Amino acid sequence: MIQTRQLRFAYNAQTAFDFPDINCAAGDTLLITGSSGTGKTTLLHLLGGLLPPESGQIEINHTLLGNLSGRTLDRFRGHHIGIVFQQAHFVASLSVYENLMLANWLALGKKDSPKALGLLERLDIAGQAQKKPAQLSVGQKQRAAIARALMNDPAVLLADEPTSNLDDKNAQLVADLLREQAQAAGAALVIVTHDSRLKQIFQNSIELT
Amino acid sequence: MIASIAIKNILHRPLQALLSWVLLTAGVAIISLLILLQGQFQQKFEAGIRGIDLVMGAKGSPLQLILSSVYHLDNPTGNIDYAEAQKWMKNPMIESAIPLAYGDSYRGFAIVGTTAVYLKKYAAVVAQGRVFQQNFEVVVGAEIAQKTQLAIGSAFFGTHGTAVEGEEHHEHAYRVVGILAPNGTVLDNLILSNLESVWAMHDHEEEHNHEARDTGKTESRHDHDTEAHHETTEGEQHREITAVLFKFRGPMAIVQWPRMVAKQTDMQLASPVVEMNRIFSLFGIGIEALTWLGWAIMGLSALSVFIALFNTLKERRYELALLRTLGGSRAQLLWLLLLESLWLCAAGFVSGIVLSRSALWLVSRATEREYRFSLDRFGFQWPGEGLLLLLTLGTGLLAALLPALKAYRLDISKTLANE
Repeated sequence: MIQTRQLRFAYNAQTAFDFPDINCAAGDTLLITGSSGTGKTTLLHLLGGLLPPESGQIEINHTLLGNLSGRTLDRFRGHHIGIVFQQAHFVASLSVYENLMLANWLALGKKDSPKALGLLERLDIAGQAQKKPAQLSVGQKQRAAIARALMNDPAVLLADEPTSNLDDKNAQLVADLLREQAQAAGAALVIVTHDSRLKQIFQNSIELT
Repeated sequence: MIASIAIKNILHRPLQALLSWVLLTAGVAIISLLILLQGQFQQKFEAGIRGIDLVMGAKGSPLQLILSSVYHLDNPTGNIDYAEAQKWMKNPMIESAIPLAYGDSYRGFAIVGTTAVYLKKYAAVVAQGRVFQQNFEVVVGAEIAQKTQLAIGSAFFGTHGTAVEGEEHHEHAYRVVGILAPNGTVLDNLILSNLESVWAMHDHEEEHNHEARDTGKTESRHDHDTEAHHETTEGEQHREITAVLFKFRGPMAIVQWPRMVAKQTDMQLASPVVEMNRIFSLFGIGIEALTWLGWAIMGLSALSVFIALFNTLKERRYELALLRTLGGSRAQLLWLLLLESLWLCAAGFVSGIVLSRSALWLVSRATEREYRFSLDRFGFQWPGEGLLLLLTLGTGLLAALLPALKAYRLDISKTLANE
């Protein structure tokens, strides 16, 4: 689960954001929408522990992110927060399977091979496991990125514009996929998007202004 | 895990890796080969000089005298009168004086007339048989025994001079009575007899020539007669040798004798240390130039590693930011980039070392053929090559330092927001 209180971030005096409080329980889905320049990406980075807030609190799995720093924050992020970026990034020199194992190893120092294979199976890309990321189609890459985000059973799954480049049919598919997988993993799903189509799919939403 | 990712990242850009690797290999190979050659030449030459303060021989180039009589790498400057030399050899200031007489050779290996002191000077051990005692008995160096299959009891005819294909002396055969254990000095490539064997062979040659002249030219008869007369009257006294190796009890004679000998006789005294230093200072310029070339190539390889890392840093910044979101620490990114450079440098070092050994082997084959001088130290050279390893890895660290620090300081949020 994830919870925030009075979150504020300022790039400078002119560009400051005060974010509404967020509360999303395990297995639930929260949609955060808003047009460009409303701080969507900033909020996602705050939630992901990639950026420290100016003030306010973020609580994930009963841990305040503000209490963590350096190596402990890196570890916590790797373990409890799964992030699916708009564009799927991978370590280009490693296979899809190795990329999943890497996520496991960086956060927990172990390599759970059956888990990786199971996730790839569940996301229907088991056949691509030994391929390099560059050899995958855009859709397959996104699935692989979701699989990787779920490798460490995160408490929160953050998705940044997961459907912006997709047509209606595929947008629906990805939205369903994210919801299913987050529920299967018992993670709170937070989707940050400007894609209005998703509002029809997810009821629970907050709009940034 | 980071280490294996580093290797995969290197192999992911094979051409760039190849360029850096080839440059590193070339740089390391050049420097390592110089270390190998310098070490071996110096060691071999210094081992040869040890215990020889001055060398007496016929007038001519002092360097040639040293090269011929100490290292057996050149032709002798000429012969000197044994009786004349003995006047100097019996001086109380002398600790040891070893006469050397050249004349014949066998399949290109010199047969040298000398005394048992010569064997002692190089701490030679007779592996089989015994030391020469009678005329025409010889002791054979280890390498010759191996290459020519000469064994105890073998008999062979010497060839006049040092040429492989020359006129053979069929009057007397040499007989092998001893074979030396290999000891890494010039002895490995010499056939040793007593002085009298060389003189006896020489006398025969004279007779042989006289006969030829008797039947051939009559007008030279007068000359021949006087010559023959001269020989018989001087008798055993007129003996020639090629050089004498001197070791003195104190430093005084080393300073004074060369001038005295040059003034009073038509011989010369040459100092092996002085001559070899002259040779090394000549070599030195070339070696120094090559060393600089080696370092320049090392510098280039460092630059190529740096450029490769720095360039890919741009396209890899998302990848690096991703590693951070997956739980990787700053230190791990730093380590990843340093390792990518260090692996390359380590690979370049290993292949450079292998390459320098291959080159040494080729050089050794050539010197073996030309000078019967083999370079056989293929082991790791301490401390020279240890230092080279440190410097290579240091170069790798230096080349990767800036890119690695950039990765360390990467702002993940900014990087990912710019996608």
